[in-house]
Amino acid sequence: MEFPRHIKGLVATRREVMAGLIGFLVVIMLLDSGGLAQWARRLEIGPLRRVAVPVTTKINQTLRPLGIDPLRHVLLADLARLHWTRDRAAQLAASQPISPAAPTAACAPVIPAQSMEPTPPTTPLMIAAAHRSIAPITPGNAKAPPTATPPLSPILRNLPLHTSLPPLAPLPPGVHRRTIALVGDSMMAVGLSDMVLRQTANNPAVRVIRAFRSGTGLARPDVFNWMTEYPAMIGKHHPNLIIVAIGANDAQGYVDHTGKILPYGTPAWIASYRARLTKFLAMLQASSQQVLWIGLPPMQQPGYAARMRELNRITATVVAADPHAAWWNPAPLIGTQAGQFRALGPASDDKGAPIVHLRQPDGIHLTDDGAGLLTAQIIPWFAPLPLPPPREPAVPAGLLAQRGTQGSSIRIGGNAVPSAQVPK
Amino acid sequence: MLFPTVSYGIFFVVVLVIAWALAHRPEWHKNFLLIASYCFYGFWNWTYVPLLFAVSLGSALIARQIQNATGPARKRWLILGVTLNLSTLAYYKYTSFALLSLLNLWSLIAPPPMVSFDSPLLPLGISFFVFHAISLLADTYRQKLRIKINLRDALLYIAFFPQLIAGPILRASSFLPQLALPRDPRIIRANTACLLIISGLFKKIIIANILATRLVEPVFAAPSRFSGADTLLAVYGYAAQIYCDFSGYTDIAIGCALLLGYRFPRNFNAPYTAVSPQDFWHRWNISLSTWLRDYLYIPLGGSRAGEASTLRNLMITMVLGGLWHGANWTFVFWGALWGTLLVIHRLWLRLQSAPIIALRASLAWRWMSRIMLFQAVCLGWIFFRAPSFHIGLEILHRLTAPGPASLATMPVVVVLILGLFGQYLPRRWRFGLEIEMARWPAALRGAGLAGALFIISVLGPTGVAPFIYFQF
Repeated sequence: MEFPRHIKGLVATRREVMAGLIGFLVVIMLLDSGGLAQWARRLEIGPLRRVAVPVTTKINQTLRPLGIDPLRHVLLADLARLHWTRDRAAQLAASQPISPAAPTAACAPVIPAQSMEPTPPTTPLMIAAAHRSIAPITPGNAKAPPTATPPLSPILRNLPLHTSLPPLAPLPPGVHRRTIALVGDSMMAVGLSDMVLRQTANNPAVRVIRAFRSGTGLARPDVFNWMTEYPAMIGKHHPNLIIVAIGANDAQGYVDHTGKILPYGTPAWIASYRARLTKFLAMLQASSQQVLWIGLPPMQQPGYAARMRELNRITATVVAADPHAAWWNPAPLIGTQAGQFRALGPASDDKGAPIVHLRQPDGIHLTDDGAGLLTAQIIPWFAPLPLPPPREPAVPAGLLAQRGTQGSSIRIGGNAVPSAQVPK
Repeated sequence: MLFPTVSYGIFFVVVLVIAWALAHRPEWHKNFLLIASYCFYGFWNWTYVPLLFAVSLGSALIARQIQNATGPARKRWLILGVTLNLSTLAYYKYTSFALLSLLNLWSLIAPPPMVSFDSPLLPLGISFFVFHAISLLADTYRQKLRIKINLRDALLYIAFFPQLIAGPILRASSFLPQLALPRDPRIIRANTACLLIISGLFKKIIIANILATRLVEPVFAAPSRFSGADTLLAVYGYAAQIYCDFSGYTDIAIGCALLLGYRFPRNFNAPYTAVSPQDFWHRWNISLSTWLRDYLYIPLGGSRAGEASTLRNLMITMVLGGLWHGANWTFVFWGALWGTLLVIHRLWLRLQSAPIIALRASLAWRWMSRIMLFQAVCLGWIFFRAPSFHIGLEILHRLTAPGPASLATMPVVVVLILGLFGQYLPRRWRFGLEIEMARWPAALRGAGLAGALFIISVLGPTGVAPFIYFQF
């Protein structure tokens, strides 16, 4: 861009740039030292975080007495009242009175209000999970009194390659529309959710709730806490079925609630992550009748693929302990017959189906066509097509509608599975 | 390391301080910037740092050979260099696309063979650094470089971090001479740079992110769930989103480079105020359109060999330009659509009767052209954004669906208006602000920058989506 060079001051000297930089740094720290400290805590475990956390925390502690730090909180609350922002933090801020002395999100303890860390088995969520593990709930979703926590089963050594979709839980009496929540990170957000939303758009018997967020996971509640965000995402809805695809960002170390660093893959990390999964699953179960957990697909880069297989083993173990949740392996569909990564493949089982990209160029996420291979199995499972008009004898319309959602049989994984099941 | 993140902010501040501290030692200064640029690239994935290095070094060595050679050898070196670069791009970006197209063509005749092929992962920014490398070779061949090519400078030209991932595409002939000159610590366009950075952050974090998350993504994910009003809003929303996303990125890139003492070319100039397809490409992604003009359209013959070949060259250039954006037939279609628009416009310009000349000169026609062109641009954006033709066509079909505009919330409408009509704001307003800022003490300017940054971070949604052009 050209401008008159003779205008004094339009060009600066190095000294002026440095003075401006100092002015910038001082003001940004005054305004948002809390945000800076929060950024440092959210860094991946490593040397940068080791340096950044103490420095930014010290700055935040030094500047907090000035009382400027809660400004972000106040502004976010105002914006939430104006419906400008939909962020959970802002909504919380808008619903709570703000005290200048109250700790901001940045200087609050690392443990969020609804922590993902292991808690004693007397908490309500754990009670629900423990209960369901021995006495399945009815369609009315009634909760039963607590029982003892079952002993943890060992982590699965080998993942089952061919898994079937579970029997579909029937709708509660009086409910005629199945509400499905799509939950997860970018493994749900990219491809899969789009295909589910598209393929159910004209189905009045199905309502789909978008409850996914890219760049999240269960390993880092300090970055995005599913235990507090999920209820906000679901809102007033009561899903009958939750489909989960999450975990692609979870192969990383983290700091637990005691401040101890848990490097990825260590026994302590596995135990902690497993506890988080259990708690997350229990929370999902508390709001729904059934959970379908879609495993992570085979990945292109060998190292990353191995880590995702490890996470799949842990997840499958946790999910297997819950009779109202099922872990489903997408590998034979999206990958080769042996469950290995493939980038290209036929768009369907049909003879003559075009060859398409099944995976995004990153070798991680699904393309729409790749996701279509999964939804070709999942959607007929939860939303079977209405049966063709009967010939002899004529079936009353009411019964037909019932059969449309409950009585048909579909072929899944080579086995005929009745989609309507008697409540357990 | 995305631009609008704390990580980049800290990285840039450290680089800025060290780079200016080394300004009196030009060699150290450039060595440092080169290392910083490779660190920036490696932050995403170290796996492809050797590829970037190999492309840069190979191109720099060949460019030196071109400079030293005489006669036909120069052309041979040029062909070798361009072939190597295009082969690299083709291997990473187009192999699976070509294979897929071949297999599907085959399937029309006979069942296609089973092929076990995993396409390579797409290295970040490969389309940009390969184009930089080709610019180095072509400018050397055309003797536009008046300086002797220095290997380290050539490596830095290709890898310089503000433009490495998504441009703007620099010309070797304009950037290498800047590297050859010592940095002058008395002339830093700090005000321009700061305003560009703030404007870029505003466009990206507030306008593009809000439009993407609350309007465009839901509609393009499942168009049949939305009314025609929502669909139309989403189409216009994407026009605003892609402009604010990409021009926001280049504003930040140009601002960062200016603070380091380097000038990048302007990449956007209020593109939606354009009155003709040709005018649009003089305003949209200017560095790419001029690259395509200089290194593709003109070598194809340009407009030198008659009208028919001019129209053919226009079409080829735009189709290949579309394909450059991504290995998908939707991008080819987008390019062909633009080629067709340019061809039609060129034919229209050939009509020289008096009433038509008078019509073209009228203000009403100018505005009508502007509005019609914007609709055509949006039609192109539908297929640019849609993952498949099927979705693109569904979007078009849904435009007629009755129903209310459920997505037209206050923030969406506000940012949509800002994104589309902000381009009509007079440029003199920004110059006025620059002159006003120049009266402030330097520390106060820095404080103002911090305040603006804070407000933007509060107004924007949590998290930053990657820039759209990163995928190219």
